[in-house]
Amino acid sequence: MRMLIQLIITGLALGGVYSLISMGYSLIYKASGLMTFAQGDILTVGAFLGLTFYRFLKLPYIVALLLTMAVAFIIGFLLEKGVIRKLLNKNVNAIYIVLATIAVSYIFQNGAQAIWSSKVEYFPSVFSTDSVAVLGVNVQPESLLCIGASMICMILLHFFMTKTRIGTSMRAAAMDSMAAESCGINVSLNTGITWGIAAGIAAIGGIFIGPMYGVYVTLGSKLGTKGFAGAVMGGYGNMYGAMVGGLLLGLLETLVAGYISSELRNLFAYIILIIFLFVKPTGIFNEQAIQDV
Amino acid sequence: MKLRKAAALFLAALMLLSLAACGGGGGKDETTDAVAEGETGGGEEGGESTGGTFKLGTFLQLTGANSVAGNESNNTLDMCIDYINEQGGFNGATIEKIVYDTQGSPEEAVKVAARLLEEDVDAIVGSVNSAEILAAGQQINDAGVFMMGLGTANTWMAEDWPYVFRATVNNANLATNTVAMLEEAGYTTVAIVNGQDDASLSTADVFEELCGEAGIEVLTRESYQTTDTDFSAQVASIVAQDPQCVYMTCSGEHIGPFVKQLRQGGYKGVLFSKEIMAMRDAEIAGDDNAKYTAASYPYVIYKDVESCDDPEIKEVLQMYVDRYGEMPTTEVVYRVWDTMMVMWEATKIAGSNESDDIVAAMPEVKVEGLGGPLTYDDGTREGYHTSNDWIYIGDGKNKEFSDWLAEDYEAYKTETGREY
Repeated sequence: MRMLIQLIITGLALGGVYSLISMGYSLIYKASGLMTFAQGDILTVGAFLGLTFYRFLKLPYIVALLLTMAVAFIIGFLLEKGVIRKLLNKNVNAIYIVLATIAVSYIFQNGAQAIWSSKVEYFPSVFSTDSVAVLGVNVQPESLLCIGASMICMILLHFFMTKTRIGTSMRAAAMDSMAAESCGINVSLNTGITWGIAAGIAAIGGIFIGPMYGVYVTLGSKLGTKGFAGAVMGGYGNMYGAMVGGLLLGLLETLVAGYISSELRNLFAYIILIIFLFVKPTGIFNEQAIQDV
Repeated sequence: MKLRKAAALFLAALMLLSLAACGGGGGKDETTDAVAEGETGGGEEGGESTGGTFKLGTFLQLTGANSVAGNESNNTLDMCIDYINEQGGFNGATIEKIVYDTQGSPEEAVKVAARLLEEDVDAIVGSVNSAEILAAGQQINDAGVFMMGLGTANTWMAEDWPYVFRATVNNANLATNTVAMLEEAGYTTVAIVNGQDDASLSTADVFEELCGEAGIEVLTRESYQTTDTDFSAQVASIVAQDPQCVYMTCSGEHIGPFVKQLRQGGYKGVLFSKEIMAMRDAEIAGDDNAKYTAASYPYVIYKDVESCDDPEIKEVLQMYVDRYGEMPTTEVVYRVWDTMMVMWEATKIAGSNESDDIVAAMPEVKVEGLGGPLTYDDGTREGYHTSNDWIYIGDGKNKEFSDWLAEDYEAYKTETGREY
């Protein structure tokens, strides 16, 4: 029982990280109809930025967190303006956008190595205690932070997309950009903001997991693909789906690793992705982004 | 317009960063190290003066997540080359280094080894990643070029490659010593955690087999992939089984996070590792978490030069700090130093820099390495035949394992509340 509780808590924590990445994927798709594969490496950049602000510059954690989000937002915004928008203006096939984001992800990885280091960097813990007891088992306090952060982000994003003027205009731009522009919506600006927000969310994941895993250049690469799988499971483009899909994936793969074999962990995660694509492409929340035809 | 300019600047910066990061990628960095004036008259050690150059090829992982060991190896090679060249080089020949980046890929290692052979190198040193040696070793041996590997796995030395030698440890031998450490402490149960790289996997296999022979029960064996960051499932399984100790064959960027997660998950027992706890790993794990990590290894890593109590190692560390302004964070500096000293001695005995002559001279080589005597007269092509047993006690310090058992084991039990 003790092991089950520990696996559930740590699985949800891992799922929380996946959720933060999944939300970025879904947000970008929801608001711009585009797919990206750079979210995982933006998480890495976020972790390095957090490391710089918190450990090297010794800023208070909350300041470091806000600065990391702000810089990540700018990176995401400029990525859209400098790469994605340029390609969109050329009316290229959507696959070129995906390929461009893959290229950008490698640039982020190598860039992080050039700016910071190829070493694993120590990220000091935010909490004074090394572990906390939950239902009789020890868990990392940062794990709980990840679960909480993903839930807060999900709620805030939902309200942002449905209750704010800019969120509504983002969705309008994604549905029919020409019609949106004719209504006076600045589609280009909206899309840029979307990419910026997605990058900011991924960066939150980076700064939260830094103390758990250390910070290194390939930190987010595997997490990025898992986040994508979580987004598909939940329903690609759905905020709640991203959250639930990410949590579910983290939970399931942790239980498989704990009770069956740690060697099957990643295999299981990707088999689930394939199963969803074949059996339920619209995901748990029946989002119509990926449909059976 | 401003936005376009900003975006263009951003992209340009990204491109520059990318190029800078890829700088070592597959590129050649040929270093002709400074040579002491008048060296053509022969080295101080009395080697035959032949003049000319000795092209030393090397392949190392210089980029990527686990490249710190490769870069520190590269630094130490430059340091050793300068040191030897100042004393006359190899039989009067100035050593020139040609280095290629493997990017941590065995496939790339095969390619760069072929390039080194095309460039007619006189000998090859590399890599610290055993999988890369296993991939590239065959062609180097077939080309009849003397090579010294820097990896620690038993696999590539098990190959019939008479031109390939080693002046570092053999993990399989160390696994034997580690099982002896478990027996000395009276442990009868253990959990194993291994990575999937060649050195980690093969060492864990040997360790598990030896445990079976020694009557030590392996309660669980957990593994992870090199791209994994989260070990919570492995930790939960180990905590649930509660073995008396844990044996880890983690390497690179994984050991620090794994130890941290294991401790935070609630496991307080003694950890045994295939490698000595590096200072950077202890920092990532947290110094308290890294405490009680034991290993059988010829030498240990020190926090700073002052805390080193071994005069030979201290001298090498001081040279490194003087040259690079910082302490090495891994023990590869010792591996490379020993390797170059063995190679130097072999060329002196051979009186020649030809690979066949160096190979023939190897059985006569006797060098006092940084971790003990290095000898090659038993036909195994391995230099180290002895090791030392250590346990990390925090604050950058390791203690002899036997001494710790005798003096501090009871205090550890009280501190952790464990029976073992």
